[in-house]
Amino acid sequence: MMQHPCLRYAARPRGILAAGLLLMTTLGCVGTSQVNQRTQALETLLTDRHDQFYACAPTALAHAEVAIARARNATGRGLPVAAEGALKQAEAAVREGWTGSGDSVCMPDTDGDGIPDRDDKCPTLPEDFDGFQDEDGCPDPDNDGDGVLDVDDLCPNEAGPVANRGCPVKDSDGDGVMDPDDACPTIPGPRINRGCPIQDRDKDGVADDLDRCPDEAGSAENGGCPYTLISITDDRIQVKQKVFFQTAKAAIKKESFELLNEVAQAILDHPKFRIGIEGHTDSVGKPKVNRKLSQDRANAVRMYLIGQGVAPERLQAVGMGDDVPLDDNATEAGRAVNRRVEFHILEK
Amino acid sequence: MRKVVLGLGLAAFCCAGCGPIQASSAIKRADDALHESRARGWDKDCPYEITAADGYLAAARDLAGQADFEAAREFADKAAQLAASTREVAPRNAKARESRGHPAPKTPAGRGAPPAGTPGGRR
Repeated sequence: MMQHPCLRYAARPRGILAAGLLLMTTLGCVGTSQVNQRTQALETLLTDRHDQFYACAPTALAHAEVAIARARNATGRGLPVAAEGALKQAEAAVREGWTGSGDSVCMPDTDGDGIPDRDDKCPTLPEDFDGFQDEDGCPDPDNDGDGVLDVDDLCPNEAGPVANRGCPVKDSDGDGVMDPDDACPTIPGPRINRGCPIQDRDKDGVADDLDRCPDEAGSAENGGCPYTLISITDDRIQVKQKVFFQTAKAAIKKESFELLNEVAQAILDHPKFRIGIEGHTDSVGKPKVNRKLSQDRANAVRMYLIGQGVAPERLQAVGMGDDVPLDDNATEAGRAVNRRVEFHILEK
Repeated sequence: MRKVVLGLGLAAFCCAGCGPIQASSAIKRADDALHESRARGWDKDCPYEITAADGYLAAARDLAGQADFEAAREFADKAAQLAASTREVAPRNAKARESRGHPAPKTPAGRGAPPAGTPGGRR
């Protein structure tokens, strides 16, 4: 039987030299003992895990076994340095096999989904390979997490309510009314009309919901209603009726209220308008009296319009007397024409 | 007396040459076995056996170079045994690999379930 190298060297006591040799061999024995222990540990590990190593890291297993055999041989030949070197190679090979680098596929795969347990976040639940996070090994029954299982979800990768079968609710026309609630999903329209555009029956450009006169064409400034008693020209609000006053007084007759109401509305419809109200008389009577009367009447009209909501600073009243006749004051018809109130647009 | 001396000398020569010759022969056998395994393509499904055989063969050559002929022969025999085993192991491993059913790209060639009684396997 081969004598252990440590004992072989230790069995030569001869004085100091022998003591030195004994010391060296003792240290060598300790080193050899450690190498043996490590070798034994590696062999045990490889035996216990042989199947796994064989399947997953066959080359590492082979390298480790060869290196262990060389370590055993070197130890037997009393070459501890060589044994240590071989053992380190074996340990490195085992380490490589243990980490399984490059050999992950054949690692244990409990759920059989093809993703080894080591890389499988859900080792007991097979991956569903539905194109969504298929690398983590976990099944994704509800990819978009909307509470609708993929099998029932028409849009499995887009979150959407159950009512819409898992598809996101869209607003195709961008009108703020979601498609399911939108009677006209492709045409913008306000919510009050269920997402459909509000019609303009009178085609005046003012939508019916904003048109005070939806069946009569009118300007937007007048709320979609036509001005019936007035018209607006470049430089004035043209009245189609006369403003009537009590004879020789500045009191406006009731019959002219409707006309003045419409004038007030026109001014309100045009916020930038600044109006000059001109009062005119015929030539009957003294000019000074006529001028005062015309001024009083212009003032009366101004006050009436203010009473209808027109800001005072937007109205300027001027009494022109009989200075600007339009017709012949020699006839009654002419004088009637000359008695008038005009509304001039000073600013717009 | 001369015959005795001659006989002893011849015996000594034979004994001295025995180790190297046996080791060399074993190395040759292992080398041939490895070549045959590779030539027949068995090595593809036997990564463990081929790698181990290569390793033992290299060790055998190394030990032979250090005049440790006995160990060299043992290592060479081991290498030859592993290389020869690929004849039976390769078909089993190939079959096991195909039956795994993993996606092809993720299944590297040459991997399979460990066959029972693999030479050089459990020690």
